[in-house]
Amino acid sequence: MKRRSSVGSNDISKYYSIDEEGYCKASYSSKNLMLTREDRSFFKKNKHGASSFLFNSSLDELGEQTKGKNQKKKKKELDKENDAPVKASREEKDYESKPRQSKHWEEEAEKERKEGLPIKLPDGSLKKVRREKAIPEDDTTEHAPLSRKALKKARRAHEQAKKQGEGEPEKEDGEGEEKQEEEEENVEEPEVPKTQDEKKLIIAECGSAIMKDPEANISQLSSLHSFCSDPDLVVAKLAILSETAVFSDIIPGYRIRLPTQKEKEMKVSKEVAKQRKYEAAILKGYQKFLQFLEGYGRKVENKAKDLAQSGDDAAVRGSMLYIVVMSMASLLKKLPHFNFAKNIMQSLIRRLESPVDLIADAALSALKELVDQSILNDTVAECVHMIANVVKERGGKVRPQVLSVFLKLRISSEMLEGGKKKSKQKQDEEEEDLENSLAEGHATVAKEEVKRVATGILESVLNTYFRVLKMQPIQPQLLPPVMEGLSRFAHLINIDFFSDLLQAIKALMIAEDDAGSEEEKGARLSVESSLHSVICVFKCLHNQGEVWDLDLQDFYDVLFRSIPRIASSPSELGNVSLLLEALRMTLFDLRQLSTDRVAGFVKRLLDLSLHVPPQHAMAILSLVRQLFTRYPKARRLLDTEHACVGIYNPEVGNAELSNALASTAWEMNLLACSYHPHQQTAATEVAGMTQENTLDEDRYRALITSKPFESLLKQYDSTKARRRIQPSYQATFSASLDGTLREEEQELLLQALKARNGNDHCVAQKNLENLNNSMCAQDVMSFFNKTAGVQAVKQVKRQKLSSQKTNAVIGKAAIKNKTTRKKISRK
Amino acid sequence: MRGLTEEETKIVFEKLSTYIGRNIKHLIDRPDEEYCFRLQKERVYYLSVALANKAQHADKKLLVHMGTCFGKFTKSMKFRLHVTALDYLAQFAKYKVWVKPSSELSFVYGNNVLKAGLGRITENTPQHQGVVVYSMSDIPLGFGVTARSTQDCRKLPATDVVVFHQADVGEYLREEETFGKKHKRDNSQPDNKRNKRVKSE
Repeated sequence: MKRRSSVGSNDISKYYSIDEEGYCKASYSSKNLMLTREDRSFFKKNKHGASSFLFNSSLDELGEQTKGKNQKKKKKELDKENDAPVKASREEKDYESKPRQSKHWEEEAEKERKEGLPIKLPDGSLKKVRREKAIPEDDTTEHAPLSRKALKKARRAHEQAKKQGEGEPEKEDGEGEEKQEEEEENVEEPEVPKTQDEKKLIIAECGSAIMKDPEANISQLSSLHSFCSDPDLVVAKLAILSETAVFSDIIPGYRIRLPTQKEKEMKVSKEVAKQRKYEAAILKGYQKFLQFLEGYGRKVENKAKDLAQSGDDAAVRGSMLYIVVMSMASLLKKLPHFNFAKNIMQSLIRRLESPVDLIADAALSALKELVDQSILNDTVAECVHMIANVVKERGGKVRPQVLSVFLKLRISSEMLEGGKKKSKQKQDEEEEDLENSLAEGHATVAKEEVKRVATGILESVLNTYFRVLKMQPIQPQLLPPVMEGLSRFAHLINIDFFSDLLQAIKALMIAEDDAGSEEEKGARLSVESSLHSVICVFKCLHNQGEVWDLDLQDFYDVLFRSIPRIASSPSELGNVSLLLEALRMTLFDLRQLSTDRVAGFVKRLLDLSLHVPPQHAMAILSLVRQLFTRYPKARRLLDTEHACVGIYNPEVGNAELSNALASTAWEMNLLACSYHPHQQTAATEVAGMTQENTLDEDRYRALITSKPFESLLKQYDSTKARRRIQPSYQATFSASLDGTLREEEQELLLQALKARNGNDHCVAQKNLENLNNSMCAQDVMSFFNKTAGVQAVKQVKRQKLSSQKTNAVIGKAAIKNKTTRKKISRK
Repeated sequence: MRGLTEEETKIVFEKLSTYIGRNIKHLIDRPDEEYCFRLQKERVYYLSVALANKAQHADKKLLVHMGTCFGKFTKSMKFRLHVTALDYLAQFAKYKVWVKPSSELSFVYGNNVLKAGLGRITENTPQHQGVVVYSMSDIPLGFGVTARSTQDCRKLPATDVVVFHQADVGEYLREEETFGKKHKRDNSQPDNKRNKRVKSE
């Protein structure tokens, strides 16, 4: 048996606090506790030497008195009054003994607090600052007043900490003391702590006490819990958060099963009884807490809604509902094995539909985290079933994010295969028993178990997907996650479902076949989800292998039509890699496609490549190269002198009908004229494929277009590179302009930069030559070179320059700059 | 030589649409040139309007051939596609069947396509649907009518017929003589006689 409680002496006094906006902070209270203790002892010692006022006041009152910034001033005034002739009379005596706080003092004190620090004006005169409101008397917890109860607790905590530090085995004694003290507390009239800080302190106390020795102090859970429903929201939030933290630490790593009636009757050893009692207490406390959270969450739903409508994100983050959901989420994350995990999931799934986005997102991320683990267990299965049920019950009227939880599932085909053989082999019962007992010793989960869970999960996931696909009316917002999921789990779909799946997807994509024009077909689905659906279908087809060879003409058409849709808007650019993935899946099949179809795709891809940034264009070129290698007949596109019937029809929605072979790949020329040097080479490489020139391995590998498109997309992604480089330039220049240079040097540098911007490289070079500071000149040179081309930068880096050599390099780089400029302008 | 009457057009188009479906419009609305159908001695030809205008100058009785022959009308006013239309059918075919290399020859000799010879088939092809038959390297071999739908094909035994043979490229060799002779025989029937029959119907 393991317990999760590992209490270090450091986190004893850690408790949560929330500031006004509701952000959570952790602060340490041990310091204040120490302070008050010292104060107390000081007053004990100096009791006799103190003034009459101090002598009369009790220790507790002192706690209230010794606060605020105006402590000293008050004392002075008090002293004055004591010095004054005393009108001694008996009646006066009892209020004499009381702390004196006349209205006058309070006003005075408030006035003082209103007064801010004086400001010295530029002309030397002083200006007094007055605040509109007085600052609160005690704005920090350091001066927190302590009630008697709190003080007692503080002392106790201190003593216990001391004990633990010394490692003395005085536990039992400590418990004894504690019991006594608890009794004392019960005897005392219930003293309700009034201020927020007091409550905070008590929460911290309870938390740290439980954490220190959960078995002994489990009874304190209820006192901690009582603060959860505190009318002061800040305190309630704190209490909820601390209780969450406490539970996630003390709850054991196994599921608690309460003893049955029969078991209760049996006689057990003392230890077992103790353990049972403890477990029952934890379970009860946990259940109570969860019930409270659920109930409270329902109560404050509307409040959060109002906050969300006002559009204040921070306010929503601080709202009670958010805290409740967050604590539930963290409980689910830390204790997915424990009892009531199902109830937490149920509650969180309900919150997924919350009209407040932040709350729904919090619940969603918790569920995603739960599902996203390599080991599939019953909790995950339960979660999936629940979500599937929700989708079923609501008839698809759920947020699309709900379905995206499924995408986090990690089901592999091995999980579904494992364990079948074993169960057949197991015939001998004795052997079975032996195996079972052996299996218990293993930490791994049995294959049969994994298979059972995985099949269950997959079944409900796929059922949900099919349900959404066949839903009438169609829920378009749900289709993207469904399509993505289908393409993800396509390899797990049974072949028997394949035809059904095809029909369902087709009905969605080609529903408007009869009504609309060709270009409108498939417009209902977003590009992304139609690409996903194509990938899904072809993955399924791959699964079937050679057994059943189908020609999915319609899906080729969908793919073909989605290419111009990507070109049409820059927001679709992210789909290029998905498109290429789908194309690779469909065009590089085992089967031979017709040259017309391939040529149609090549032509459209090249069209697309003119509309996209270089890295995408290069990825497309790489795919085109592979297509040309696979289908040499399609290279007729590169040949300007072939004869063909008819003319190219670029607008038709079918690759074969477009008659692409009647056209030529004129796009290659444009691509080869790109400003991007690597794209130029890539385009010339592909354009040079007209003749059957066999490349040896090394030369082939040296080609840019021989790389797979994913690596090209990554390697030449200029958006990320630009972000990386630019700040470093700024840093460089600001540093060199900030005073490392003399004034004339700065002037020279600025002139050089200006000249360079005006493309006057000779002037720039001259200015730089005059700059003697080699470091700065080097920086500027590398800047110039980076803009001229990456290779030049490498050159500069390679050569460690002395100050004398700088000039030579500057000259070279400037010439290089010029030539590249010329090249570009010529093109 | 004359254009098709409305009824004839309907019959021809219905027949064509069993093979190429809605793609018929690509036959008529061509972006490059205007094309038309012409009837000459019961045969339907597909040709560019420019060519048709030129052919008009030739004597009806002496005109042997022009453009691409799509097929002919039978005596019972049914339209029968000839293998010469294969090029266009293959270009615009809606449903396709690919035969394995082993059974290519069998098909080209005029036999039906069996399940064993079925290499690939367009997904969701219905039963009794006109299909174009290709070799696995995408060379059109002929056309026929499916005996079963795609779904049914899956579970068929290997010896069952999948596509009924209608025409194949082998005819160019097998019926090399009759190709011309049929033509001659058809010449014996004067054009106006047939027209009368159409009117009487």
